[in-house]
Amino acid sequence: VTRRLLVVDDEPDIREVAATALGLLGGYEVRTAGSGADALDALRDEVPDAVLLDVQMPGMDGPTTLAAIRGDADAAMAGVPVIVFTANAPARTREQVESLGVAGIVAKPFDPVTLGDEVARLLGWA
Amino acid sequence: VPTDVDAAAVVPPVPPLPPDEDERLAAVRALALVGTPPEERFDRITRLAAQVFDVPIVLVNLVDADELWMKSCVGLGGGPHPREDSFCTWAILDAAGMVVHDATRDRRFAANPAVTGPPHVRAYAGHPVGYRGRRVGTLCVVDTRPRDWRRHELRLLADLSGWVERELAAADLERATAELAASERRLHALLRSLPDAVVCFDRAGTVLTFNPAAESLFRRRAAEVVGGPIADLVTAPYRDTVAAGLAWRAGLDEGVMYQAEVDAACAEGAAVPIDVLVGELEGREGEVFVAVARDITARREVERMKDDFVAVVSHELRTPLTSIRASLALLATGRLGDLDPAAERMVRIAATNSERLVRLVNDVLDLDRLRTGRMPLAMTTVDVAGVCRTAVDGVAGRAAEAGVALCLEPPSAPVLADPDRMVQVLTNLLGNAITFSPPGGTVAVAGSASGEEVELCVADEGRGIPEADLRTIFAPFVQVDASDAREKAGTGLGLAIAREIVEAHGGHIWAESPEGGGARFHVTLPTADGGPAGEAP
Repeated sequence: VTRRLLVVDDEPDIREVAATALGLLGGYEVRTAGSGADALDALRDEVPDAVLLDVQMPGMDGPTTLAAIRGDADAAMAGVPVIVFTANAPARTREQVESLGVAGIVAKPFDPVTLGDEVARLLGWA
Repeated sequence: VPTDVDAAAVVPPVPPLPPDEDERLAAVRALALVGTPPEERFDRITRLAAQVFDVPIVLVNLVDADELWMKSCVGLGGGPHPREDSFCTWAILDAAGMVVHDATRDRRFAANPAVTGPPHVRAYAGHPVGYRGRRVGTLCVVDTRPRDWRRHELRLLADLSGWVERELAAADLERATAELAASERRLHALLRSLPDAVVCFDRAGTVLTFNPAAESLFRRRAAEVVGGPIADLVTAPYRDTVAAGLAWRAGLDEGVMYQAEVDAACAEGAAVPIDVLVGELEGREGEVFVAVARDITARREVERMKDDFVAVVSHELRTPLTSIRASLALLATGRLGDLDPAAERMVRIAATNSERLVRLVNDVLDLDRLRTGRMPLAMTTVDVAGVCRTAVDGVAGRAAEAGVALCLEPPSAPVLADPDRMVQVLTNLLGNAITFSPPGGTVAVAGSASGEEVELCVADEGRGIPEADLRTIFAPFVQVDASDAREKAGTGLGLAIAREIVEAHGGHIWAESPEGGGARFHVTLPTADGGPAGEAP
């Protein structure tokens, strides 16, 4: 079974590197979104097996996007497992995303070689 | 019966010097009236004496080293006169003064030019005038006819010389007053022109003075503030600090200063951050304190900008670094296509250096947070042995690569610490030790625990550290020998971070380099007060 992931990050290069690491190395089927709003659109189109969400983004940031996902009328979308990416986020932001229900937190910069395994471990797929 | 002295035949005796001549001259100089013009306060005495004694000449003379200075004169021109010819030189030898009834019959004066020529002195009565206990000069009355000085006349002369003395002393007082006033004017000018706010207050905390810089800093007029409590000059949260400072000050030695950063309570409820230095002034009215305050709004702003700058820069650096490092790491796997050996080498160099840059950014950010106190420490009671084990496990790979053996014999003792941060300290120390160890060498982690503190020691068998560098190595970006390529792999911040972390825990860190080689880094931490391991305080 090929698991489907949605990678949400405002940095196109990081999106591409993460998509390559997870797709080419990890064997996942990867879609990407460049903003919180795009992510919500993509989720309404198709709910993947998990979402990898960046915390610091302009416009809708990670916690706002996560709150919108959790509050969505579609139960599948509201319940999608989410892993957040964070580059030294303040403790309060961590608590905020944790209170909204996340499968795990991955520190940035991540190691692309082990990223796929890390995601599988956090989601209990390993 | 005295007979007329033949002036030409007599050699006049030289007047002897008073026994206290040096001190007397010092008093004359201290008086500082020699060379000054006539003054009414002396002239009124000489005029009065001329009338009362019915004499043509009255003088107030000051006897200086070589000449007389006629400070006040009736009947003569005033100014200087050679000392050896003067009657007064003789008059100051005796506390009672000197009287001459007929100078032509006195062998001391018969040949005196003032006797043989104008003004043809015949009779003289001089009484010394004292200043600071020395006979600095005389008040003398002079007649051109021989004269018997009556006893009541001599008493009057003594009284008048007492008046002259009063005037001399008054001059002293006036000069002191003028000097005091001048000094006070200078002090006021200084206080007015100082850019710092200066506020004096007494033991009870009542404001005594408030300079113009204080008026502009607090935006309050001196008249509104003086007489009120000093505590009203700071915002409410700092009033207790001021009260405590006043009470605390009582027990201190003189000259000890108290420094604090507080918020000034300005007009219209505004608050301005200030740096205050409080010292004690000696005052006759009791203790007086002086507070010197400076507006540090700009400094705070610069600090805030620097903090923001460091945070923004490190975040902005991390974002592209994440992409660079990740794409290089992916390339290096070979899964994106085979690389020929030269290309693989280049990718590895790029990857290694991007790793180093990431570490540098992380270290700069860590050091900045530690120094600004924005690195929260998650303190729990942990066994120091576990912390050591975690750190050693973390560097095991590097040690194996370098062919260095790790020897772990840590003490077991509970410490109150942030375990992640203490692992960071030990990782930095172990990393250095491995880097500088020769292949086949051993890096040992050992230590001891006493009742109050735990001491850890990371020892290597490398080349050691020169004595002169043992202290400076804890400063940021200091490397012992920059020519050593092994050091270049480090960020230069590891030891600075280690020190900040250890000191934030209330511990100490230092290095030593025993003879025979090797470096030893010691860390002490206070032991936890008996709390069970793993439980947060």
